[in-house]
Amino acid sequence: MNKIFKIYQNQQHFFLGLIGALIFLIIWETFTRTKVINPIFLSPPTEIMQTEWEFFTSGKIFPHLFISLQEFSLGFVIATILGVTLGLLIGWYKKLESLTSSLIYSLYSTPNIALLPLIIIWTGLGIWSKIIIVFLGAFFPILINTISGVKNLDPNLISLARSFRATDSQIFKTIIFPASLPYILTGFKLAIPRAMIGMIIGEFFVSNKGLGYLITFYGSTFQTAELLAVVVIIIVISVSLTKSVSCLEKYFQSWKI
Amino acid sequence: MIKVKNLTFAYPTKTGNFTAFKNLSFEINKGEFVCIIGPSGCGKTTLLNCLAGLLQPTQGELYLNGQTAVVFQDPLLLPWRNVLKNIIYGLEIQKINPEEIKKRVKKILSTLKLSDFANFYPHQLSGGMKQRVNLGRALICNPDILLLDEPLSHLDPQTREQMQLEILRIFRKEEKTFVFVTHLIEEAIFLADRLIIMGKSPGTIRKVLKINFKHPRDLTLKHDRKFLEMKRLINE
Repeated sequence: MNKIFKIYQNQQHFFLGLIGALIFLIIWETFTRTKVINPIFLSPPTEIMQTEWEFFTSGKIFPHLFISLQEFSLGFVIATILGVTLGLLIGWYKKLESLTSSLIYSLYSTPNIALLPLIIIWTGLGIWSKIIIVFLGAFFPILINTISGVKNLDPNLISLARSFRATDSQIFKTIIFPASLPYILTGFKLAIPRAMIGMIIGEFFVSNKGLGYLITFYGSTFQTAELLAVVVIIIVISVSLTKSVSCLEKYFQSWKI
Repeated sequence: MIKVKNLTFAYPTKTGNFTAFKNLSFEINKGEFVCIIGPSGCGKTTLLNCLAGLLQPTQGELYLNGQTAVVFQDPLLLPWRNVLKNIIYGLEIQKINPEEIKKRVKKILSTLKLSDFANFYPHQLSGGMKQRVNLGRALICNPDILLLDEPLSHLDPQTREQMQLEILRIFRKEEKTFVFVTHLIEEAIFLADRLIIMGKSPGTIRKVLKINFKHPRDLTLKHDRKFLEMKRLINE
C-alpha cells in the first residue's frame, strides 16, 4: 500500500490528469446513457470506443486513414524541406529578407482555407489539392521560425568559424543549421495543428475518402458515434505528433544559446 | 613574424567614421609572448581581429608570416557538441584526416587536463573548463601564432591565476608566438616578454616595454619588489 502511495506521489501530475479525464468521461456516460442528452447529439464514450474497435477490426477505416496520412505527410515533408531551406537563406541574406518579408507575412496571415477553391481550380479534386493546403498550413510557421532562428544566432559564432577560414557552406552546415534547430522545432509545433486543419477542411470540400470526408458523411447521416470515433482518431494523431516534437524539443533545449 | 606599419582602422557609423586605432607600428618576433594592454575602447580587440584576418584594416601595412588561431573572450563553445567535438571543430573545417585528428586530440586533452571530460557538453562545464576547451580548440590547429583576446576576463580571480600559469606552461611547451590582449596590467606583466601599451580615442601606442623576468614564472613573482615597481610605473 505504502509503495503504491509513493508511486502516486512521484507521478501526481499524471495521476490527477487521469482522474480528471475519468470523471469527465463518467459524467458524459451517465448523461448520455440516461438519455438526459439526446444520443443523436452526443453518443456515450463506451459506444464511441466500441465503434472505434469495429472500425479497426473490420478494417474499413484503413483506406481513409491512409489517404489522410499520405496527404498530411507529403504536404508536411515538402513544407519542411522548402521552409527550412528558404528560411536559412532568407535569415542569412539580409537583402533576400527585405525582398520577401512583406510577401511572407501577408501570405502567413491569410487564412489558407480561403485559397482552397483556387487550389481546386489548379489541381482538380485529387489528392494534390489536399497536399497543397496541408503544405500551405505548415510551410509558413516553419519558414518564419527558421528565419528567426538564423537571426537570433550569436554573430560571434560566425567569427569563430571564420577564424578557422570556414567557407559559407561549412558555416551553414556546422553553425547556422544546428543553432536554428530548436527554432525549427517550435515551427513544427505551430505547423502541426494548421496542417491538420488544412487536411480536414480540404477533405470536407472535395473528397470521397479520408478522415475529413468520413466526418461529413457520418454527420449528414446522423451517425454520431461513428463521427466522434473519427474525431478521436484525429485527436490521437495530433496529440502524438505534438508530443513527439515536444520530446525532440526537450532534447535540443540545451542548445538554445 | 608579425610586422605592422602605420595601421589604421575606422568603423563606419551613422555620424561618420569612428577611428578605433590610428598609425600603429610594431613588430612581434617568433616565439615571443607579447601582451597588448590598454583601457576599454582603445581598439585592442579590433587590432587582434585585424591580425586574425577577421577585419580588413582601413589603412597601413600588415605582414603576418604563419598560421593564426584565435582564442576568443567568450568561450564560444558550440552547445550541440561535446568537449571533444568542440576541440576538433577547427580541424574538421580544415578537413584534416581523422587519424591525425585522433592523434592530436589525445595530446591536447591531456595537456589541458580535459581527458576525463571529453564527453561532457558545454552546459556541464565550469567557466575555467570552458576557457580551456576554447584554448584547446585553437592550439590543436597547431598555429604558429596564437591570438588571445582577453580569454580570462570572465573567470574568478583564483581560476584566473591558475589559468595564467596554465597558459605560461603551454607557451613554454609549444614554442609558439603568443599575442595576448588584456586590460589587467598585473596579468600582462606576469605573462609577457614584452608589453605594447595603448592609449585611447583614437587608439595609439603609448609605450613598448620589455619584461625581463625569467621563465618559468610562478605566482610569487606577483609580490616581487621589481614586479610591483613595474606595475606602479605603468599605472602612471
